Amino acid sequence: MGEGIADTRAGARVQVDETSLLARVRAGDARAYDDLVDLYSQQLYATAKRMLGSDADALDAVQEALLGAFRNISGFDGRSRLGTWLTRIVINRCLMTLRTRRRKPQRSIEDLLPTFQDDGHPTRWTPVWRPPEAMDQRRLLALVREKIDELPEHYREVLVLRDVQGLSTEETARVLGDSANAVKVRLHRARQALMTLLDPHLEGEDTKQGPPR
Amino acid sequence: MNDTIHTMPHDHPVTCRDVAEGLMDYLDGMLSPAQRALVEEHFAECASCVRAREHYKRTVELGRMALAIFELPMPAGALDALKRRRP
Repeated sequence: MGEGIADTRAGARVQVDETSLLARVRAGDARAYDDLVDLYSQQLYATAKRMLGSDADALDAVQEALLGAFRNISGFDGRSRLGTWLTRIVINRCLMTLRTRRRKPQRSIEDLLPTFQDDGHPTRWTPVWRPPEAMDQRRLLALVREKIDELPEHYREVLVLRDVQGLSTEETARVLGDSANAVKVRLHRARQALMTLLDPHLEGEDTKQGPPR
Repeated sequence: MNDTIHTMPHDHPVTCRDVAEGLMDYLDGMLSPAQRALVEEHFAECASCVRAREHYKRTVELGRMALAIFELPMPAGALDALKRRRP
């Protein structure tokens, strides 16, 4: 492995000699831990923050991931970048946090999916949404964030891993211990549910339509 | 196709339900040419499904953007706090 690139504060990118850092971590050099924190905590924090929302929870996940990685560096087989391996660890940490966190009763995904009549027609025509330029972008994104948080946890985590974190279906399946097909189905449902949650907020005032029949 | 979400018909017209179920596969280019052609025929006749397709694409994009704004610097003092606990 040659030189790695890690994100640091303020988005600056620095060249890091991953090989020598790894050798120092493997030797248990305590200062190497500080370098791991300096080099990788920002990108790990961004991942954790997206998954968990709260600053404190995100920092806890980063702390536990970095400490765990330092102590178990023998588990790093060198087939991926160190940053990729650390990201997987922090994702797993976040998933553990999400699964122990029962913030509120989970709503059923079924209530948020489109419904159809026996002949395959929808029970409600798709409304017209207001165009993007007609909306305040910051408020809209804050709303979307709020609605993502309303998704049942199993669906939210797939949406974050696939659509935001950019993991492949297979990689998401490995992280979650599910089949690739289960991941695909959940991602599709999560997007449909998010669409339903956004509907009343994006629907144009003068274009509401009733049931088709 | 084995890994599609829904068994999309390939030899008779598709319904709005078929299109809703197969939308992700359609957008990801995972449908067979015959299935894709049937979905496109449906779009040519169904404004509601066209809107659903566009809303779906916009929802994916909005979700990405809404969470990407958390690409923020860590809170002040976080680096020091992280280093305070030693391995």
